[in-house]
Amino acid sequence: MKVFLPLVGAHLKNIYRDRMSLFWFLGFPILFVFLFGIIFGGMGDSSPLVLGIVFQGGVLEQGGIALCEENPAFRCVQEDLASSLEALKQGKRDVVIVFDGEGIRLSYHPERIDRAHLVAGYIQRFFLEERLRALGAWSNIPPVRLEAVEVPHFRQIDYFLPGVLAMALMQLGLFGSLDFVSLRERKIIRQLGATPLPKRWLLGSEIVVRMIIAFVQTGVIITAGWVFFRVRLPHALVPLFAWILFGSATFVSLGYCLVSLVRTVESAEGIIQMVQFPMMFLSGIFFPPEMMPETLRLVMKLLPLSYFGDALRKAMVDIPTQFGLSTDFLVLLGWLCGSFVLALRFWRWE
Amino acid sequence: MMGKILPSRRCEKAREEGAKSVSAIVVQELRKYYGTVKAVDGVSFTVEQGEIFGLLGPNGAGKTTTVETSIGLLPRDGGEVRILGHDPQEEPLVVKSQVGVQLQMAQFFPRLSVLETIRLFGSFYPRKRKEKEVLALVGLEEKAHALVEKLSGGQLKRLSVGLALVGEVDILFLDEPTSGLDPQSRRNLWETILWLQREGKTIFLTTHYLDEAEKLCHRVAIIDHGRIIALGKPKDLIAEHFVEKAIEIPLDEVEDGREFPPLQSVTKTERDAENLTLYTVDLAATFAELGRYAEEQKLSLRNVVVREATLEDVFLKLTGRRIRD
Repeated sequence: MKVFLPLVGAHLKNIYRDRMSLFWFLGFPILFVFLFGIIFGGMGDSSPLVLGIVFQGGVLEQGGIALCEENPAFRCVQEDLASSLEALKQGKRDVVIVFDGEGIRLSYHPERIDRAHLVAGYIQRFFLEERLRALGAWSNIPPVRLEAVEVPHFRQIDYFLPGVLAMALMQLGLFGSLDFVSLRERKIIRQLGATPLPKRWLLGSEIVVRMIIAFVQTGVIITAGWVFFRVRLPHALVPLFAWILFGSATFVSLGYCLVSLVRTVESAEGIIQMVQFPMMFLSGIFFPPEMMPETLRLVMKLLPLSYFGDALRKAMVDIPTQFGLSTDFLVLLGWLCGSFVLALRFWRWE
Repeated sequence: MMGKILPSRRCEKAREEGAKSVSAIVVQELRKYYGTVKAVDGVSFTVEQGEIFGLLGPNGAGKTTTVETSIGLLPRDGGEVRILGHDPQEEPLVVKSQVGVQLQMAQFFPRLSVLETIRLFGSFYPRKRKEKEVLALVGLEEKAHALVEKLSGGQLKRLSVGLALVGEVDILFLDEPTSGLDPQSRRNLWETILWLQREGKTIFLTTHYLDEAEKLCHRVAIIDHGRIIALGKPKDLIAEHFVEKAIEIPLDEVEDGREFPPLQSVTKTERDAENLTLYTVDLAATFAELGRYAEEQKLSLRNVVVREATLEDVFLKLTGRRIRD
């Protein structure tokens, strides 16, 4: 420990004083959460139906106003026809209701036909009810009750946040091993080899530092998600921490495996980009796999990040897993062991 | 934890056993090949405790390879090495905790300060010197809080020497400690090396500066093409090869290709790129004759230098080249 802690401290200082790597490890994920959160943040949210109400005379208007305004699911805007249709085209109204003296006309945005039918049904039911009441037949109809059921509700941002964390930890594991390559290339490792310090301690301290950064990243990303978008906080910390350690270890091992195949920092950067770039976009960490075409889903199933993201979604925000936690575990374990063996086989200290 | 306690205990033990009876460094028939290139080709020497020993040779002669194989940083292809009685390949930790090493072109964590770097390296050794003392020894007190990446080449060199001193070690390996330093820093470093020797350290250094070897080293080995071609005290080496004094005549004062007539008392004539050097056993007689000859031939002798023979002459005599060609 007397040797280990100063080494860990040295690594931390060396990284902390490098503004670029600080940005990539901490600033970049926050920026990611923030931007994508703003883009996707609202999607999947239930918002009230917005109705444009246009009066052009007629006897039905009295009932119409009261009808629409008393329904809590509607938000009504009274306006003239031209501006109401303009707002509809811009997507600011779901349905425009025109009382034109002869009857009621509904105009709707073609993507929101379901909402138009809903409104039409509601209005028709109202007039039917009036008529039945007038005929004295109303009381025989059994009442229809609406009851909301509590189900977990996931917004796009809930799905997205664990993906950002998985991506950040993947990048930490892969790009982090560049530090070692640069120590190797600059012969710092050789210099340390002339001291009584065993070299594997150097590597060990590097890995410990990486794990420390992994937990800092986790804290930062979860906090950012909560502060900006109120993404629920994880309730069980132990499984989350365990997954983070395990997943980070997998990608750290993969990173060392990749850099043991090449000599220089430049070629190490190249080979890491080659692996991390497709992984970032094809792992389904940013959107549900249902949004992907069939062929890409096959590719997704080959990438370790898909399984890490899947497990993190479960551990962080309790989204049901897609592959099952034990599959996630086994696939990641396979990658961890495979890359570890390869790294040992091709390892070079100098 | 285990790895930490074990070597330091073994090292203490070695210290007690070793005390003064063993030679500090014994190298026998050391060989290191890179493919067909024989970087070190059967080098042997012994360095006694408390000695300053210099390995002198031109660039590419095998100095660095000798250092790196001797301390076990590179595996050797043949021969024996004992550092205070221990084989660096068999007991690397024992050896490494007893030697301080300064490598050529050493680099460190770029964003640690000088002081932090010294502190970090200090933590690797069982016993260490105070950081302030190390800073003072290499004259980096004012740079203590500067980041390593901001240091100049000379300061980096001094830091690398300083890091060889952080452990309380018995033997120092310094690979070209003064190359790239300005004259003032060089002289300061000489003072430091002499001070360390008085402190009881054994110092093994390589250099291609002849004056450095003559001033600092008790004994020098001259290495060329991976082989030692001369070994001994600088004065003895000179005396062994030269009883003569040297007269250097700059070549631009002598027409090219001109053959000097055999002058009295001159035993040997060397011609290299810059000078014609005459070695004489009787300076007065040779000079009188040279003067007469110059007058006849209308030669100017204004820039002629007379000097004692040096290690440079020994090297020139043994290899036919100057050390920094």
